[in-house]
Amino acid sequence: MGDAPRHREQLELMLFRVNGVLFGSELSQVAGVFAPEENTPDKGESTRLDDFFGKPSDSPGNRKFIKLKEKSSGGSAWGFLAEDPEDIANISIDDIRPLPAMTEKLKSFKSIWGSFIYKDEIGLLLDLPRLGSEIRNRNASI
Amino acid sequence: MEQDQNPASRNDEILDAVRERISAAQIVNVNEDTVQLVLFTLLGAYYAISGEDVKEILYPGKITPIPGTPSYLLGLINIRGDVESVIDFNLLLSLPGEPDTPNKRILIAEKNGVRTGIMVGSVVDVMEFLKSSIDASIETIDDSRRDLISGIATYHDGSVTILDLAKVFQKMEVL
Repeated sequence: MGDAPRHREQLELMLFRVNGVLFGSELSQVAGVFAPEENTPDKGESTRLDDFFGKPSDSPGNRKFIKLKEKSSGGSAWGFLAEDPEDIANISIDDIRPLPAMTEKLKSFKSIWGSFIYKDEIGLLLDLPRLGSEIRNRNASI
Repeated sequence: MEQDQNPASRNDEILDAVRERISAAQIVNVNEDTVQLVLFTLLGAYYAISGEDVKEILYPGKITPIPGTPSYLLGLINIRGDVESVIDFNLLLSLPGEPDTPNKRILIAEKNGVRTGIMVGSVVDVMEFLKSSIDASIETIDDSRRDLISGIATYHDGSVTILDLAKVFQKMEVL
């Protein structure tokens, strides 16, 4: 018997890093990637993801602004700053893994919804619209 | 004289003696309940968990941290294409961090349907202990750890703190 057939279905992910950790988000959720200092029309609000995730980075790598397609509840554009958002990868469904049950129970960010294996490295799947809600909820509670 | 003894007969005697020893060991096992423990160290002190709960012992590889999780959850590891969590026993037991040494290992453990990797300072031994040799009176243990411990055993004149994985998972609120 041969190996089990691999699923043809794939997720098109934009890859980036936060504090060196690999993340992937569906490319369909992203409007564009800009240099932080770029004078982009309607760039909107930005959040530093390393800061939001609780560990501001000393060496942020090649940090860029990732603008989302989804507008904030107030109708303005928004996005976040992350490191090295250069690669786009087609990840097979076979390379997607749910988070282990223990991690699922202990995590506080619901926007981190799974993991994937890319070039033998574990990446975390991040739902950007949900991340936006979490950022807005945190800002509202401050 | 002993040298004159038939070699075949001498071999039989040796084998009889060996069989007697094996039989005696089996009698001990039949008459006394034993428990298999995996012994490991945290900052050089002996600890153990039940061998039934340990599925695998691994060399530490790259750990991917997960934002927004407790500090004792070190992150995720890749085990032959599967993803597993890893926890730090030192932090759970309010001990200082383990120094980085080549002896560190990850125990893959499972209890009551909860599975995780556990980072330890080193793995020392896997052995059977007589249940009667385990001291279940744990009043002398520091309060913060007492609720995670099922007993104390002796190993090479040192004491072994036996951790109850179900109690550990209950404390973490993952059971």
